[in-house]
Amino acid sequence: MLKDYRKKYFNDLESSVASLLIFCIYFFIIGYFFNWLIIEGVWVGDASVCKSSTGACVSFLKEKLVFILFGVYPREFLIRPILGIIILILGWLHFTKKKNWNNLLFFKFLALMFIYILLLRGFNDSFVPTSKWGGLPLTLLLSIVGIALSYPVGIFLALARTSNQLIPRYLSIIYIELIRGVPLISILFMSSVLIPLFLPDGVTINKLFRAQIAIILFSAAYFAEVIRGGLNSIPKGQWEGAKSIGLNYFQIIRLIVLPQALVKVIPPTVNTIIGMFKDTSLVIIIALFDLMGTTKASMTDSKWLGFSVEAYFLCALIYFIICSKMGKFSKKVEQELQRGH
Amino acid sequence: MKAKYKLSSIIFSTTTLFLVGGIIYVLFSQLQENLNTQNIATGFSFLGYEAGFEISESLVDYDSFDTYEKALLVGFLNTIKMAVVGCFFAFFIGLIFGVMGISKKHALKSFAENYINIIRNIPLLLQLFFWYALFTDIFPNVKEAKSFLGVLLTNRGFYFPIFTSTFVTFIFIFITGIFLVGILYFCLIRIKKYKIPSFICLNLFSLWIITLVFNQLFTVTHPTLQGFNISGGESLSPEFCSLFLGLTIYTGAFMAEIIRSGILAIDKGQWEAGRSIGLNDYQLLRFIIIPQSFKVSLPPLISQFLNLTKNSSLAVAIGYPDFVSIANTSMNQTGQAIELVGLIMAMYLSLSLISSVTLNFLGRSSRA
Amino acid sequence: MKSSLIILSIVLSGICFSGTLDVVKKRGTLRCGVSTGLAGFSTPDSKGVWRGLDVDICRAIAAAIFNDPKKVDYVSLNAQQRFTALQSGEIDLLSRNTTHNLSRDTQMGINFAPIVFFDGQGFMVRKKIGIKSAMELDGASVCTQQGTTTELNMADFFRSNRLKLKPVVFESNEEVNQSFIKGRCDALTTDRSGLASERSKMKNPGEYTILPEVISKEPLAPAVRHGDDQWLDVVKWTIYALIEAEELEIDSKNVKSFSKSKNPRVRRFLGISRGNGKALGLDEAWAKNTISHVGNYGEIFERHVGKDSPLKLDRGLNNLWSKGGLLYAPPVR
Repeated sequence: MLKDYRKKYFNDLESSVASLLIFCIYFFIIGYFFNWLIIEGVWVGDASVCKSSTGACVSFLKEKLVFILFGVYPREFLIRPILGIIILILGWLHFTKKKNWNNLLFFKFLALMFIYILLLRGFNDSFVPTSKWGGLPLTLLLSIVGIALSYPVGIFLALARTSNQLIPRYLSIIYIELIRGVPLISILFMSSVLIPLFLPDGVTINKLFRAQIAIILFSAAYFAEVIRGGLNSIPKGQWEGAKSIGLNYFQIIRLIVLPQALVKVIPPTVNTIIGMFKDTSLVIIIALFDLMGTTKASMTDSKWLGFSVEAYFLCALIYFIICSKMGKFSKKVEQELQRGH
Repeated sequence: MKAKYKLSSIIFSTTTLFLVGGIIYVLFSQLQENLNTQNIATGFSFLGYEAGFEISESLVDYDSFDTYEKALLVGFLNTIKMAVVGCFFAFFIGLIFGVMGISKKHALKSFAENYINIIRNIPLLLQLFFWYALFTDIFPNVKEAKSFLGVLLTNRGFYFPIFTSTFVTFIFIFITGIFLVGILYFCLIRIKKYKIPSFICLNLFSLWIITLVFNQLFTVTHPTLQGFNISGGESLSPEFCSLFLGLTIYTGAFMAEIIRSGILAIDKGQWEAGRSIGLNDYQLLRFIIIPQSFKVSLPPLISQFLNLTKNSSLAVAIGYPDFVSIANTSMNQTGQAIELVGLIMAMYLSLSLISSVTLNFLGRSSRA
Repeated sequence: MKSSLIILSIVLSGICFSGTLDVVKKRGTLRCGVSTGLAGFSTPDSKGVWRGLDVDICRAIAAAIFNDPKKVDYVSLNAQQRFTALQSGEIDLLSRNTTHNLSRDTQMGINFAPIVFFDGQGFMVRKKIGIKSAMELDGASVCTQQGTTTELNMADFFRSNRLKLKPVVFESNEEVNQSFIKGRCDALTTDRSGLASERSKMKNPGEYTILPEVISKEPLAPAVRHGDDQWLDVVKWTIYALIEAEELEIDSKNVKSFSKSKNPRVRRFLGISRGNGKALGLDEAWAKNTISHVGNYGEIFERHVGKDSPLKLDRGLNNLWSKGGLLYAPPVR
């Protein structure tokens, strides 16, 4: 094994010099980090102890961990969001195994989300209003529901754009170009400030809903483009063959074209999903307390001021773990697809 | 059968049109009704009203006497400033890490891969907050400003000395600009060997001439603490710096991935042919591989440039007065959310359309 | 969700426009918009219960309608969302230390209720700087919140006194305070009550001083939507009742003993002489219920921003007209 390392890193003079340089950089970064976190880190003690030391204030993280993860969710019902996250993790493990991919997948997924929302919501006595949902469960909810509901809309838009009917095509082009050309912030502003003005008297939509609608509208346009790429890559022969055995447009789409197209573009789809997951962090700007929002709020406690780096580090770690897991899944699928060819 | 197909499609199209038209009509009439009953002002006349608020940094003269229109213009210029500077440096970062990612030296390759992996998997907003917190936490108060090579480092910004005469400043920036563009050209396009050293030398020489020989004639103002703040010199605010760093590092990582996959898409035959005529790896990259890879990478790179411009709208979260931020303030002061959200979307749409048109003009499709 | 079911039932049961009072009565709770946390005015305590002067206004109106001050849903809003939440009907009442001014009254589709707190804008600086007046702030960086009248007033003050200003604006109140504490700016500006409130939360309140200049009028008042006169009347008169009670020297402790009073003014106020409640659409004992649950204006003031609170503000302008202040309630008859 040592020989492999030598071959990899110290093959020739140039390589060795580069490797040494990089190893030095790694050493410094990791060393500084280790020092900050472990050696000088304050693991026990309150704010004054932390302030007087130059290390990381881990006791701040310990104190605020529940708040960062769950926001202002009533503490006595905390078991429910925890259960919800566990169910989601189990769901992820289940859905990412190829042998589980069948037609029931979507319905199983819908059932999973339904249970998750019910868990967060509770009934009667244990009802928790959406204004109290926050932290990681909220981030997961916004992104998963947003992506799940926008994917069918994206399929619909992509089909409209590639159809040869003028009206659906131009309508969908206008929609897609409009949404893709503007930043997500403006769509969030639009949904939080404008949607109420479009509704009749007395009808209001919950702030969470409005943000969810904005995320769905936004993701749908991006998915539409990815799926369109997939649709365009289906050879014309497939269409001709299907028509020759007498299938109509909708049957062709459902049975022949879509299954192939969707599978072909799984890697860019997963990339878009990762992007959307990160983008849900923008809801902090319309004052929804997702994971990023609770992290920021935790730093404003007057008893614990000045530990923003620790808080951001924790938040970044959580996002990084989730996103890189999705990225690894995407690479795995990409490899399997390549093997299939 | 063909006729039946056509009829059903016509019916489908017209029903879709009526449906969409109907929904839009209902929404807008409801909007009209709401605006009327609640007596909310509409129209763009507010643009001529006095804005009343100050803006912390602006490329043109502005004070609170000026109209909302001027304030929005200031925001627009700030956005453009960030977009141009950011795209430029993001591209450099992308180039560096992209080439590192295909390096044969495994250490470099894994370093680039890890770096890109980490940056891409953390939300941009979080990176922006982090950089902003870093800038305001690490650097000291203006009263205890640290000096580094003549630049004053404070938590209110970096203050650096500048030529007193704006004319000289422009010449300086112009020469520096040519120098940087020269480096870009040098990296990407084939230039015959003897042209490059002379090109660089010419630039360095002119810079040297200006700073040394004419140092007597052109005075430089140094930043000094006067009263509450530092006056003299130019400054870069922590908002600008953190937005700039966050955007360029984030977008640079994505560009690195694109450039890397562009290079990998070049046929192996090119590498072999190049080696067979005696070029080393560096020359291969510079003269043969990278220029070709740009045919493939240009569309996604352009879309990354657009992403950077759109992401600059996150400036509202860290207090950099870009277009969205100023529109947001105006929204709060005038209550005319519809017009302002419309303006925001129109601005970004036009930037996006301009880039699509440019790409089409260059003969490439903007979707990759 | 529950809220959409409620909305649906309201829409179905009242197809034509029904007044906010009916809607609130049917719903059984008052939806009140409050801030994201301003000590003394609206802030959640460690158990998550909202407390403050603005909160007590909401409780008073709930007590007037339902005889139960707890029947309030609090919706936390930042400066950007507060008006749209009111316009859209998401909340019935905005009680969020909002300044009453012309443009908001005319252009935003809202109506203001009587002023509940007469405030003014001021500056807070570190004592270390050693300045005694806002006139010495030439060239200073001042932190403030984006999209507020504070931002505009600050620009006006500096301009009219020919001082140079470097504004540092942030979206949220917390960021403004943090930046001030970190030294990103030299001064902090907001309503003087807000300054006192923030100072009370700081680690070393003694290090900071509030400069004497009051650079603007900031009359804080609750707001309701345009086009609902009956609801505005309910809110208006509940607030007047709080002031009138203090004038009549009725408070939460002695209100019961006043029920035997022969004073006709008291009898009309407490609803012993009938008619006022019906005119408003409320129970005849509406004022009595309000005072017994929440107290009169003086009690509310002292409890949250006065001598019984960390803010320790003087009554100043927020006193009865008969005592040198500006609080004057029209007769309850």
